[in-house]
Amino acid sequence: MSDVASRLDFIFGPGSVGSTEAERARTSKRSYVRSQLQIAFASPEATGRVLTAVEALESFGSDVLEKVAADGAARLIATAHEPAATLKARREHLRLSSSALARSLQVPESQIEDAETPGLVTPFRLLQKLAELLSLDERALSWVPGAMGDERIASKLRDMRAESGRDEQLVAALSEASWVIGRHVELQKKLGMEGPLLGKFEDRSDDYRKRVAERGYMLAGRTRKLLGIPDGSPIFSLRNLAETTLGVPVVEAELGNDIAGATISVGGRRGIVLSAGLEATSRVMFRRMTLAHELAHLLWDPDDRLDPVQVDDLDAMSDESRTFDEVEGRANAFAAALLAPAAAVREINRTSASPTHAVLQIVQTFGVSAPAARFHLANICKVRLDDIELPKTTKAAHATWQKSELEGGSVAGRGFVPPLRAGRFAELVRTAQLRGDVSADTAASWLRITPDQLERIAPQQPRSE
Amino acid sequence: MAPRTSSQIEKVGNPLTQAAFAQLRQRFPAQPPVTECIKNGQELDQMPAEELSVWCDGDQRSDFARTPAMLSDEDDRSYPVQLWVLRPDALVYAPEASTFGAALESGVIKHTNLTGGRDAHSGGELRLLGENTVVVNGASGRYGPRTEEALHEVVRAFKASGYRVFWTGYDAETNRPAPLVGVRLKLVA
Repeated sequence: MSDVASRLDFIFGPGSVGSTEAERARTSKRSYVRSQLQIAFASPEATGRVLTAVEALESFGSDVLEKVAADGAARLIATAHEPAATLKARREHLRLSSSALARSLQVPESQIEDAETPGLVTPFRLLQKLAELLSLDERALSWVPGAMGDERIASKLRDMRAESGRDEQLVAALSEASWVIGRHVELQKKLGMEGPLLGKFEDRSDDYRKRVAERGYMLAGRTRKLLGIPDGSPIFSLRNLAETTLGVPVVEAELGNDIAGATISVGGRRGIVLSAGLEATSRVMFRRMTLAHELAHLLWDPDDRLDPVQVDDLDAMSDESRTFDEVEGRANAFAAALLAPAAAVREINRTSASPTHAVLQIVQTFGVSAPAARFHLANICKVRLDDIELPKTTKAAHATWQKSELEGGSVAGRGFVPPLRAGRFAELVRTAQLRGDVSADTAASWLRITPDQLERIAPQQPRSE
Repeated sequence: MAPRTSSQIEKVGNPLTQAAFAQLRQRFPAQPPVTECIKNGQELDQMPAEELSVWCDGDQRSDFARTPAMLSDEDDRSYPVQLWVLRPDALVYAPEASTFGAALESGVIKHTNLTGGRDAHSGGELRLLGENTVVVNGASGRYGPRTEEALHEVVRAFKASGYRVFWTGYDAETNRPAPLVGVRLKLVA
C-alpha cells in the first residue's frame, strides 16, 4: 500500500474508499465532535457539535483529522485568546452592545461577556448562535482569527448605526440575515442547485438618465424576455421566480416598521431580505412589489451603485412620487413593469370602463398593490393621477395572490423553523444533510430545530416558474 | 529538585509519589495502548532511559512560582510541553520535542515512546511552571483518562505527590481532557 493510501486509511478509517481526501471523507464511517477548544471522534458521551467527516475535512483540513486519529483529539484554538477576541472585536465593530446580543439570543448578558473573555469555555452551541448573529463563519470560530467575517458588510452595518441612527435590533437582524444568505449561497453552489438563469443577467445597466422610469420599464421587459415570461402573463409566485429560477436567496427578517426590504452581498452574490411585517395577506401585493424592487437592484444595478447592504425604506417604496433617488426610482418602475408589463396595462386601460376599473383589473390580473397600479397606470397611459380613484376594495385579490405566492414558494419548515431560516434555505440544508455533507446535528442547528424535526423537511426538488 | 532519570527508579524512594500513584494504579489497571492511534512502528520504540524523567516528590510549600491566568503558545519556551505516562513501575515524563523525537517519522514523541508500547495506567501532558508547580491534563489518545472523574483523580494524585497543581478541566463537549493552552488555569484544591 502506498504512503498516501495508508495515510488516508489512518485518517478516514480502513473502510473508506477513494484516492482523494474528499472521496475518503465521503465514504468514511467516522464522525467527529467539536467544542470551543478541540475536535475529537464523536462518542455518545460527547455533547458538542457533531460533524461528518466531510464537514470536518472542509473546515479543518486533513492534518487536523490526522492528529485526531493519532492523539484522540486535536486543538482548534489558533491562539489562547480565540474565539473571545474575534467575538468581541466583531461586536464592537458592529457597535452592538452585549445586552442587545443577549436579548436576541435570550440568554443572560453574563454569557455573552464570558464568551468574550479569553480562557473561559462556552458551549459551542451558544458560540455558534453568537457567530451567526454577528455574521461570522461559526465553523472557523477558534480556528481562524476573525472567523471569516465579511469586513465590508460589518463596516456598512456599523455605518448604519453610527450615521443613520438605525437601531441595534435592525443591525443584528441584517447581520444574521447575511449569515443565512451566505450559507444559502454556499449550499446552492455545493449542491449544484444554483438558479439556471441568473447567469443571463451579466450586463448591468448604468443608465439612469432622465425619465428614469422608462429605463426601469425597459429593463423589466428585458428581464421578462430573458426569463421567457410572455408579455401578458402574470408572475404567479415572484418568490419562486427569485429563488428557483434565478437562485436568489430570499429570507424574511424582523426589520422593524420602517424598512421594506434589503439586498445583501455575500461571497459575490446578493440575497434579498424581506421585512417579516409584509407577511400578512393584506401586505401580499406590497411584498411582491418589494421583491420585484429588490430584484431590480440585484439583476441590473452595477455593484458600485450598491452598498454591500442596500436597505430600502418603506416610505420611499410606498409612494413612487416621493422617490427622487435615480437608483431607487428606476427600481420602483422596474418592479411595477416586471409584474404588470406596460403593453398589458395599456390594453387594460383601453378596454376598461374607467381608470378605477383599470386599476382593479391590474391589481387582480398582475398582483400589484392598488396604489402602485394607480401610479403605474398614470405613468404609462399618461392619465392624471388626480383622475384615478382607487377601487373601494381589493381584498379578494389579496387572498388570491397570497395563495398563489404561498403555493409557488417553498413551505419547508414553515411553522416550526424560524421564518428567517424556513423555506428554500431549510430545503437546501436538509438536502446537504441527506447527502452527508453535514451532520443532522449541524443541519438542525442551522435551522434552530431538533434533529428529530429534520425528518419533517423534504429535501429540495427542482422547481420551475 | 532535579528530575531523575528512569535508571534511578528503583534506587530512590519517593513516599508521596509512590502512595499517590499506587492508589491511581489500583483504581485504573494498566491497559494496552489504543492501537488505532498507532500510525507507524517507530511510535512503539522505547525512548532511552537517559532522556526520560521520573516523577518524584515535590515540596509545594517552598514554591512561589508566578502562575499565569492561562497558558498561551508564547509560554512554550518557558514551560515546554511534556508528555507523562503512569507506568506500572513509575510515572515518567519527557519533552514532546526532544532529540529522540526529532529523529522519529512524526518529529515528536508519542506516549507510547514512554512505554515502548507496553501497558500503562494513564497518560497526558504537563508543563512545569516552577520546581514544585505543575499544570497537568490527561490528553493522551493512547492511555489518557476517559472520564471527567478519572481526570479528577489524576490531578489529585499529582497534588498528593507534593506539588501545587493546576489543571484546565474536562471538555465535556468532546468528552476529552481540555488542552493546556487557552483555558483559564484552576488550582487543584
